[in-house]
Amino acid sequence: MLPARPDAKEGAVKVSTRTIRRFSEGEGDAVRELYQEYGRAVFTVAFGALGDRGLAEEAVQQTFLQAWRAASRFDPERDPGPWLYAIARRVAVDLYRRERRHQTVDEHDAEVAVLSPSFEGTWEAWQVRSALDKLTEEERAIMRATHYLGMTHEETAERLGLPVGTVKSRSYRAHKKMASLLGHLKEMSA
Amino acid sequence: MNCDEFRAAVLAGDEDGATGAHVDSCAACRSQATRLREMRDALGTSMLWEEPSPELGDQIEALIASSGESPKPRVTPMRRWWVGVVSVAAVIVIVSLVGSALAMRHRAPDWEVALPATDLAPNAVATVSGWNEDAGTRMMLAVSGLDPAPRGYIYEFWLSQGSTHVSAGTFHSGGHVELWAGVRRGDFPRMWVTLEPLDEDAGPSTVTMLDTGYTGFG
Repeated sequence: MLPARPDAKEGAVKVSTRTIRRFSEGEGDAVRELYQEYGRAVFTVAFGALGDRGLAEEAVQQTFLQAWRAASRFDPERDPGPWLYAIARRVAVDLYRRERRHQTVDEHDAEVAVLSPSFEGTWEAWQVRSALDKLTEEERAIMRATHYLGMTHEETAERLGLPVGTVKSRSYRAHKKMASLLGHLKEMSA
Repeated sequence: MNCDEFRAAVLAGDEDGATGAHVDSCAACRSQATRLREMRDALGTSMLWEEPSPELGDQIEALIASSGESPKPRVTPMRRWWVGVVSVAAVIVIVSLVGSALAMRHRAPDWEVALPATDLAPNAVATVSGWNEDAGTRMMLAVSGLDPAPRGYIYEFWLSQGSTHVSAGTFHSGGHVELWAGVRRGDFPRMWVTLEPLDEDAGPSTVTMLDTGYTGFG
């Protein structure tokens, strides 16, 4: 069973119940809103699983198309995130299998061997990416600099043209927000 | 340090003595610490920072528009509720009917009578078992020693009261024959079987094969 929509939880779901209802009733405008809310998380799952930008974008397209087709079966009172994640993961698996079928297996050429997809941890990746998307642009820039680029607060301040104190306070605020958003993960992913 | 501060510190990679002291005293945070560290590690991977093309949203809208598809009309929760209730009711009715039918089939007959043969069927032995139902009378004729009806003829089973005759069905050879008549057995005491030509005459012929007469009421 999908978890109920945590509307009251800060930042947990931005997209409104009304949008979900419109989507489930087949209103085209709601597709854009849903994509803006969940598109990057879907892309993260697809890219993490397939390791290829082109395939990942194809997976995102197929995910939203399939969601659109099945929209009438979706309960607008529910959080669409886990539903979209499940579709995205299945689409990624299908694309992986398709690519593997098309891949010429040449035992003399190790380069053509298709890597195993990395479906482990895609739900966690979805959650973390969704949480990142709920930060402000400034907070996300600091998170990217410190975690992905491995910069210190000082290096981040220099890169972003901000006082170190501002970087530290924004970093603290961003991590606290992330921790709050992800605090439920243990229960949800169990 | 409270739990929020602990989780933020772990995510930020700022674990120190204070976080250690908190996790030692907080079972909830202790159970989350490993997962939070995994998330912190995930924040350093490219998959979380890779962005889709800016035009992907437009492409998706175009894809859906060009598909010409639209979701099937939504079945509202209220309608689903009714559908569910009606479905359950239908199942109950069907089960009841099937159960009743089965029970009826396996119910002991309300009466059984012998159906004596006439001189036209000297080797025939027949009995009739009957069930008095609300809709009429259901009967099972068990007959042996009756030659199959000649071509162009059938046997017909009748219940009669005086000159009023009600057909309960036709058959062409012996065995077990299920019969129905929309009248009460008590009102039509005579049961008999005639040989009928396949013609337009709806009444009984004069060729009687089996007959209780009016004394057969059992």
